[in-house]
Amino acid sequence: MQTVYLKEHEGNAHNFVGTLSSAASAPWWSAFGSQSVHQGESCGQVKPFSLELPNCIDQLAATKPLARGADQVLGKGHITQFTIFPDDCKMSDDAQKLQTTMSLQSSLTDPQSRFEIGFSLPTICAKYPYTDQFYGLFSAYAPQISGRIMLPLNMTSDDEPIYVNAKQYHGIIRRRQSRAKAVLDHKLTKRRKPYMHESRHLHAMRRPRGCGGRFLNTKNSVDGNGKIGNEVHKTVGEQLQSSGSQSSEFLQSEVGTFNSSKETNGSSPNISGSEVTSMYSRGGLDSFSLNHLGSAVHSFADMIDGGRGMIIPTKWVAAAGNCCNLKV
Amino acid sequence: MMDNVGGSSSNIAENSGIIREQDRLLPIANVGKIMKQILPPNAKISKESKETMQECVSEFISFVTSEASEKCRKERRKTVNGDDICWALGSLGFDDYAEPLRRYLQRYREQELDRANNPPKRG
Repeated sequence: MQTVYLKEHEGNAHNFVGTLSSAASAPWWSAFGSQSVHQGESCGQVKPFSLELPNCIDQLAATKPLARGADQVLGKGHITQFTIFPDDCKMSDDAQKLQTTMSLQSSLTDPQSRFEIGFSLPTICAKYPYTDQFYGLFSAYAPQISGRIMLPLNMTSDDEPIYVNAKQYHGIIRRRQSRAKAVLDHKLTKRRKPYMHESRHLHAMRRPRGCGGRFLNTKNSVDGNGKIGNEVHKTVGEQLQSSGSQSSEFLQSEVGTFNSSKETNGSSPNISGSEVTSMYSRGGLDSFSLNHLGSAVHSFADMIDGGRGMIIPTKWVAAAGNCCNLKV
Repeated sequence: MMDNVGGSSSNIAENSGIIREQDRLLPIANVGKIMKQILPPNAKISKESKETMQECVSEFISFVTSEASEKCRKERRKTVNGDDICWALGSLGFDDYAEPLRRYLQRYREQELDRANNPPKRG
């Protein structure tokens, strides 16, 4: 019994020095008898040394620089106390148990680290449901015999691992790096521009729009005809003012009214309305005999007949309203 | 690679290294027209659908072109031609698309050859 304990302490002494020999470590792990090969691969030399340090610190409650000297003293102390007190053996057993639990935890993390290191590990059976991503991922449209490759977890926005076509893996990784580089260089503008040219946008905002928001194309010509009618109205007014007031001219204007009322053009009602308005106002100003009043009544009757025969536009109705007001 | 270098230099000259939207994406009107070809005549397509499809097709073009460009880089060539695109589609697993595109490329080259041999008459 005493000789076995002495060997264990010698192993600890080797750990303190920092040099581990295979002959010394093999019997140490074989004493526990639980997956010695796996633990040997997973645990390095630094881990048990760091694990033992807090135990020493807990025992002595000393600072880090003093811990090294304390370790040496403890090493010697363990040897001396071992021969005298058997309780120290129990404490050393607890420390070794902690080491085994830590090594088990480190062994649990090894598969994840292997997955992280080896991106190109092929896995034929997909355990997770396949989820399509909107941006940058192209799923295979046909089943592939060669299997699928899992993308690295830290690069995906989702928490679930994504399996993609093995042929497309390198392309996807390359494209992701290109996009990340573009984002880092601030070359990509994520928000979309409503328009590309300021001047074209301003021009479009100035264009007239109809009901529903569409641009006016056919109605623009109608407005143009309206303008032409206004010009004719001005011309006719000037002619009437320049000429003298004679009954023959009134008769000619009445004939003109008949001709314009018969036509079905859009501009003709505007012309006839303006002529009637100017004639009536001129008649009121001159205040001639009954013959002129009779001619005025005739013109009004002709206007009513013309209105019934045609679809009354807005301006014609306005002209009729003006005539009624003038009478009153 | 040559096209990329030219594009980046022009962008640097114009907008100090900013890739404009019209340089990165296909025109949205053309995408809408192509989508409309397969739909019934009374169907309507929302703007969100066009934008989503615009992003998808633009990324697919970059994806295939990147694969072809990588092959040209390994072979130390500067020009990406139609054969490289067909090879890239096959390499990425889009075999059903590679074969029709190869036939299209062959027919296109025949037309170009006929046009070169028989130039249009100038009258």
